[in-house]
Amino acid sequence: MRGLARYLDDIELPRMLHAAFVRSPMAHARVVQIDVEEVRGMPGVVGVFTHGDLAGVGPIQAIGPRPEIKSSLRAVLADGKVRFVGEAVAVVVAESRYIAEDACELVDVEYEQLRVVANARAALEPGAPILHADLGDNRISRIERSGGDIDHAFAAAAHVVKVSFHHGRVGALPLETRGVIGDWDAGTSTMRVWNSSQMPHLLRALIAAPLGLAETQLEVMVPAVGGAFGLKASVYPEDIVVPAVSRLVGRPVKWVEDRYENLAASSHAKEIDIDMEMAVAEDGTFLGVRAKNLSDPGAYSMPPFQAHHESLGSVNCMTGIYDIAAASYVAETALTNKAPLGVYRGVGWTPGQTVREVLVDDVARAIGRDPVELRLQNCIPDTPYDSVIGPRYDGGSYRRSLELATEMADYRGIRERQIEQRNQGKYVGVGVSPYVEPTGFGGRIGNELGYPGEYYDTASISIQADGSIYVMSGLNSQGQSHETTFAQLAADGIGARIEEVRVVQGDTKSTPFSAGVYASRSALIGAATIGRAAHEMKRRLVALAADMLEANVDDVEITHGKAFVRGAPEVVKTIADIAAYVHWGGGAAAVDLEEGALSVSSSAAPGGSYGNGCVVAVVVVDIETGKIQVEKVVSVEDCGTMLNPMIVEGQVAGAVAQGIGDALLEEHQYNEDGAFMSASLLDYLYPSTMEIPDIAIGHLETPAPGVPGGFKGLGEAGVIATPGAVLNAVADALSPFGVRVHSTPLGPSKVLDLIDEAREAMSGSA
Amino acid sequence: MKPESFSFYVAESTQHALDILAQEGDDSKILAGGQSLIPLMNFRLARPAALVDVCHIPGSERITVDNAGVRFRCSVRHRDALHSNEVNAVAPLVGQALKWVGHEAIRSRGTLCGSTAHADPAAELPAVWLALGAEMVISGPHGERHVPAESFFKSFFTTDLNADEMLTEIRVPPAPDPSLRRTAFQEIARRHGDFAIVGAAVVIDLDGSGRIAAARVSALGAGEVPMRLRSAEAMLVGSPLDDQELLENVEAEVRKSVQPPGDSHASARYRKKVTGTLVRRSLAECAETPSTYEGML
Amino acid sequence: MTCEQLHHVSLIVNGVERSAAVPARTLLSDFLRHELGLFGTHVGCEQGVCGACTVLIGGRLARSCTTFAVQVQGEEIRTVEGLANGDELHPIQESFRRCHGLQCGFCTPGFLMATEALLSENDDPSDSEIRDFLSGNVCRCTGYVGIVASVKDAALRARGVNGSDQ
Ligand SMILES: Cc1cc2nc3c(=O)[nH]c(=O)nc-3n(C[C@H](O)[C@H](O)[C@H](O)COP(=O)(O)OP(=O)(O)OC[C@H]3O[C@@H](n4cnc5c(N)ncnc54)[C@H](O)[C@@H]3O)c2cc1C
Ligand code: FES
Ligand code: FES
Repeated sequence: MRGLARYLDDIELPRMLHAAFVRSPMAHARVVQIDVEEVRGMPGVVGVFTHGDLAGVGPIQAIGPRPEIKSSLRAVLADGKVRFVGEAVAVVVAESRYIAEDACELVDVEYEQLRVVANARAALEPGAPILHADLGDNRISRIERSGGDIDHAFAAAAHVVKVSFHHGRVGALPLETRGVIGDWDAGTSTMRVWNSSQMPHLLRALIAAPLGLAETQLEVMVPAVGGAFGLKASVYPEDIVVPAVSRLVGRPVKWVEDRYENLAASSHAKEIDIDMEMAVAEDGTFLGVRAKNLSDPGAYSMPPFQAHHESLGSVNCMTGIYDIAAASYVAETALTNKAPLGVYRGVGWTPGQTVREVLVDDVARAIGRDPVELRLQNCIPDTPYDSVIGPRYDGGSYRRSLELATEMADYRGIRERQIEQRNQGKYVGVGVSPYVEPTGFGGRIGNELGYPGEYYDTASISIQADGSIYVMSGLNSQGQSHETTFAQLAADGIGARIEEVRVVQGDTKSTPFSAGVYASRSALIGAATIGRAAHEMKRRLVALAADMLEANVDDVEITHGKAFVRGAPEVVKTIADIAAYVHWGGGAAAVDLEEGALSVSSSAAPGGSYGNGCVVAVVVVDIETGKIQVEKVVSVEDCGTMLNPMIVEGQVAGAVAQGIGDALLEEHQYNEDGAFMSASLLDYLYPSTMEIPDIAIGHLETPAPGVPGGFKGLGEAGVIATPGAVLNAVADALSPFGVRVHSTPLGPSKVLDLIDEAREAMSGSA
Repeated sequence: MKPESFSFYVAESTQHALDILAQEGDDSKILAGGQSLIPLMNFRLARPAALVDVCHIPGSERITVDNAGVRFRCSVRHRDALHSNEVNAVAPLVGQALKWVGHEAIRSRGTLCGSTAHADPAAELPAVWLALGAEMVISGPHGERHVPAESFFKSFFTTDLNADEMLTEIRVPPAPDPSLRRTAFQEIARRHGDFAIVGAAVVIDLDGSGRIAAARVSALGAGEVPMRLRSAEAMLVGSPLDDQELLENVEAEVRKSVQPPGDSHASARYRKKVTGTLVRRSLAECAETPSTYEGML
Repeated sequence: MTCEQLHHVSLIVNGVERSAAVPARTLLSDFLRHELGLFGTHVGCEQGVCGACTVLIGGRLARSCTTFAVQVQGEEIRTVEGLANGDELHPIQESFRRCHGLQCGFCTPGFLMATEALLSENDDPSDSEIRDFLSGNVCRCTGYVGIVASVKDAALRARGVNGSDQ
């Protein structure tokens, strides 16, 4: 706030050098040779390195977690071949970033162009160039699943409605780009790394081997992070190259990604084609749903989430909040010459939710039903419910959230005014998108959804001699205000004052292991680990206070940092008194506790929980220019017990804005030759204050069963559900023309095309 | 994204600037507000060997309004023109368009001459100069020359300026009868403050009976340069401004007459169609809004 | 390539004269951050779009990433570090804190400077005036809801009316 927070680029070490990367201008090419001679003697240049100079460093391994998913390798600097525009080919280390960039331009790389795989469909065509020869073909994953009698569902259907949907390629684009500082300490053989990562422990685990180091030789520290949203939850070549060259030159080296690099070479997200069809009975009952998708993950599979995450994620939630007896999917992924797909808020669920909710609206129009009524008719109960194809919901407010959101948006009123407004040339539309999402990703949910693996996290709490309290968590914040929520959790659990609590995060040396911050894990896992540790700490404090007060443990209470005997609040022992008693007064021994009397660690492997809610969007479409103005967004959230409504609302609004960007503005474009067309922020369009309306937020609270505190995660729903609501609202506004909206993003040019096509189709059929 | 190195000069006068351009040769460039040039340099899409900062030339920030119209000297910033009561009184179209240029922080450094010399086909001001019949004053090694806006813009990011020349002033002629002048500016951008996809600027001079005596209509984003839409103008002259059918015919004519390119933001077809729509809407806006002119001061 | 010529640049930053010798190509953002150690001004794009680097130059809102330090020789620069008075937050910062106007904080310095510029010319902006004025600053975290609320709160307080006490 005062400009005092320290982000990665604010860290300056003595003797620090700066790295810049030579990046491929080609989408697919053989690297014939790299000539660095001109660079070597340049004043200010300390080193220049290519793949050949980094013997023993890398590769990055992506090990397929299921037999249907192929394992693959990625060299940290191009190893004879480049596979997308922006891929790192060489690195220069110099006295300043300016000089490093000068030098990059003098590195002479000779390329021999190869045929380009421009999209996932082309990747699967016979005779398509194969990106990674060792994989045999470009299909990196194919996963099938079905539940219930799907053939029977479609045979019995009165109506079958289909969509072919394309979700565009977007990017998380945190305002702060990525960055890495490597600092090799030859004296102790220790590599200190500063990295703006979302998962310091996991990053350490994944880069240790490529750097040839034991995890104890590698210290990963995460400073303040300026947003991440998933983009900083993958392992990238620079995460390894920068420390590696620091070791080679014997000085600290900093690399801060510039916006071009961020756009071209950091992870992209969500590109996928999905065909989905719904079998519907005469009375509107959903009988079955079938999906087949093909995701375009770009050129490499990035650990830890890998290339299949979008295709699998998008079908996991295919039944949504609906009670559907049969479902089946085929989820495929095929490599192309584009930047690798990583994870971005609402992974897989965004396109999956969008296509399903668009399909439900198409069904409603096809059979002449109100889309909200049709949804309520098919809604699952609020009690725990096992879907036919994976998720086992643990109870929520599925129906109520839809009702509340439509009430708050004045759905009925909008419908009543709509016809009149159309007659005056104003095309208003309203769209709904109820969702259910997995949160606090853990072993149970992971397994239900086809991501085998177990997760576990630890937090520790210790009280210092003066009574001040450390909370150590491996979960680090990128704007989710963990400092506040975690401190609050600890303070509430212990009975301490929040002012006494200091949260330490993002340092692998001092904080215990965490699987990282992604997939809305923090609230739930923070509660499970910190909450339990705090509870145990309270028990110990009470025991110590009882000893000091010569009272019975059962009679001692502790709140706001003060312990006293119930009924006698005049005599108090503060936490500082108790801490002094333990540290200097022999208190630990007195209660027969060991040395770690005021130090508690607690691990948890929570299974996760499903949050739910509903987004409603109201839009006005200018049918002459195709401009869409989002007038209003209502988001009703049920994230279980709410810790801090203000933080919840901030997360929701931010995600809704990203959802609007996803639906209307944002797209990473490549042309047919694989050239990257979105290399600046005038081409990749972030929403500004003018494209985002005021966002109304409603809260429902269905505590998660079996989760300490009843918390569910949150933070992704806005991105997951908003695009569907916006697309449905646009289709609703344009329903007089018979427009159906089956792709993102929806720019004005596309809107006019849709209107024209629909008009032509109408006049053709008339 | 750091620029390449260059030699830097601060010009003390127009002549000084021209001398440096002559001495440094073709790779030298004028630096005005830097809001187009510096981003290009950061991307290393522009690599001038020398830059001449013209914003410190005494008097270069002046706006003069008199019987001869408005004169914008070379370092007048967007923001100053936008907030100038005098400019808004006699040439409101300038402010109507400037509202669409970037954002406050861009407008407080970007200059009118810089935008004009840069000649982005989607920029607002070049189309404004066409609609207002402005004149460009160019200084070079052989003295000063005056070029009408219409012959100034040559193609994509290319103007009539030579490398050794400088745009020193933009002159907007006065309206024949300010009380009978109507102006409007409309555009569509993907996002607020971005360069337009397409836009239109309209200047209408009415006669005493409310008929159109003269019309100047220009479009941006509809070709590789901003352009006058003469066939549409011709249709307007002699008619009342509130003739609905006329406006629709003009819209159709505009759609026929422009041949815009397509790109990743919008198709050629879109641009063609919406240019027509925006011309019609601008004309309708002129019909609806009374004159905001306060006459020459 | 030879060694670059250095220019002696001297600026009044937050009321204090600061100077350094730098190559002409040094962006003002880099000058403030890496020459003067004022890391509060952030860099998000270096192409003038995101607004993270916004400062006041001679009292006017400007991008420090699309300005060379040599261009503003001798001028007065205000950065986010110049807002607070010691430990006491500037009223605009107070409002951002109170109304949850930030999450990751990376965009915040730019928004604070833009708000300062807005309120200095209009102490009672409407919602749409606020949104229009701030449209050149991107926030990826908040969806702008908390930011617009913060600016309104700051305007109320600047006019001496008590803002929201959430
Ligand atoms: C985020 C952002 C959004 C923007 N949005 C818009 C927009 O919507 N509409 C719009 O029109 N512009 C927009 N711009 C561009 C902005 O308006 C620029 O300021 C303007 O185009 C150039 O003016 P300048 O004074 O900054 O020129 P500079 O960047 O300094 O120079 C631009 C070019 O003109 C040359 N030049 C400058 N002055 C002269 C002169 N007197 N004689 C000869 N040559 C000269 C320079 O050598 C250079 O080649 C935007 C910029 C940014 C960063
Ligand atoms: S860093 Fe200057 S505007 Fe983005
Ligand atoms: S608070 Fe993170 S970008 Fe605005």
